[in-house]
Amino acid sequence: MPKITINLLPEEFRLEELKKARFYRVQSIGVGIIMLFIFLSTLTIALRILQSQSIKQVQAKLNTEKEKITNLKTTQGSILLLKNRLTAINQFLGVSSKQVLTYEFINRILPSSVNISSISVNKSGDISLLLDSPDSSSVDELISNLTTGEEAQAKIVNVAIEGLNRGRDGVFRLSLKITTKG
Amino acid sequence: MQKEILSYYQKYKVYIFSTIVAFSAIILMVFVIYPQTSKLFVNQKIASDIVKKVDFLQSKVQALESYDENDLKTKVDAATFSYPVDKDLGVIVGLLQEITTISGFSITSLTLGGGSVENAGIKSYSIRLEIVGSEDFLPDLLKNMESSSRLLRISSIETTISKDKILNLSLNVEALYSGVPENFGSVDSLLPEITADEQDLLTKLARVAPVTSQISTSTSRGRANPFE
Repeated sequence: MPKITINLLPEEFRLEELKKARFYRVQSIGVGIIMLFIFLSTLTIALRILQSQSIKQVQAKLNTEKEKITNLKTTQGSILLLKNRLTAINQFLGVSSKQVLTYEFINRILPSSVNISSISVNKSGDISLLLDSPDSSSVDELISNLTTGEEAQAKIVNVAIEGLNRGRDGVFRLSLKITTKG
Repeated sequence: MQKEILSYYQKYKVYIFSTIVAFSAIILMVFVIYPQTSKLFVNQKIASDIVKKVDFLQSKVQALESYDENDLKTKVDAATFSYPVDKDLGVIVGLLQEITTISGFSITSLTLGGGSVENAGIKSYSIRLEIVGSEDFLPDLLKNMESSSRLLRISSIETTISKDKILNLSLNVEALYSGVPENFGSVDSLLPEITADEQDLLTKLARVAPVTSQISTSTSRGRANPFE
C-alpha cells in the first residue's frame, strides 16, 4: 500500500530550512576546499624542507670530495705535467728533422762513384754540396736523380749548379745549391 | 548599524562565505603553493646537478688515488728528463758526449748557445758541436741524436770530408724544453687520460732516463718538484 506524506510545515519555515541546508552544503564544500589548500601548502612546505636537507647532505658530500681532491692536487699536477710533456715528446721523439731527412735523401740518391767533399744543410733545409766525380755520367745521373723522381719532386724546389769544372786529373768538381720545399 | 550588518550577512552569507573561501584559496595558491612548488622543481635540478658533480668528483678521486705516487714520480722524472721545464745544460753536455761516443765520433768543440728561442710554446737552446769521425757512421749519429730520450732536433749540418774518409762535422743541435704549464687544473677539471701509446712511451723513457739522472740532479737549474 503506497505511503501518503503530508507536509504540514508552514511555507516560510520550509524555505528557511532549505536556505539553511544550502548554506551548510556551501559551508562544508568551502571548508573542504580550504582544508585541501592547507594540506597542499603543508605538503609543498614539507617537501621543500626535506629537499633542503637532502641538498645540504649532498653539498656536504661534495665538499668532502672537493677536499679530497685538494689534498691530491700534487698528484693531479703531476698527471697534468706528465700529459703535457708526453704530448710534446710524442710529437718529436723519433721524428727526424727536415735537415736529417734531407741529408738522408741526398745520401740515398748519390751515385756510388761520386764523392762528397762537403755538404751543408742549413736551418731552412737548403743544401750546399761540393762533390767530385771521376766521370761525367755520374754527374748526369746525380742531376737526373735530383730533378726527376717522385721523392725529389716532393722535396726539391730548385737545383742550381754553381760551379762545374774538370781538373787536370780528369776529375769533375761540382758545386750545387739545392733549395728544398717548405 | 550592527543589526544592519547582521541582517546583510544573513541575507548574503552564502556569497560572502564563498568569496572568503575563494579568496583564501587564491592567497594560499599564489603565496604558498605556487612559489614552493616552483622552487621545488628548481631545487630538484640543482640537487641533481650536485649529485652529478659528486659522482664526477668521486670518480676523479678514485682515479687520483689509483696512481702510485712513487711510480708517478718516476714517470714525471723520466718525462721531464726527456722534455725538461728549464735549460739542462749539464745533462746535455753529458748526453751529447755519450751519443757521439756511442756513434763512433769524438767531440772536438762544444759551444752552448746562451739565448733561447720560443716557437709555439716550445722553447729551445742551441748547442754547436764540432765532431770528428768516420763518414760511414754519420747516419747513425744523426739517428741517435734525434731518437735520444732527451728531445733534440738537428737544425743544421755542415760537413767536410777528407780523402781518407775522415769527417769533420759541425752540427747545430736544438735542445727542446718548455716551462711548467701555467694551469694545473681546478677541482672540477677533467683528469687527462694517459693513453696506451703514452704508457709505452713512458716505459721506453723510464728505461733510458736513469742513466743520466745523476747528472740531472746535480746540474739541472729547474726545480726538482715544480709544485712545491
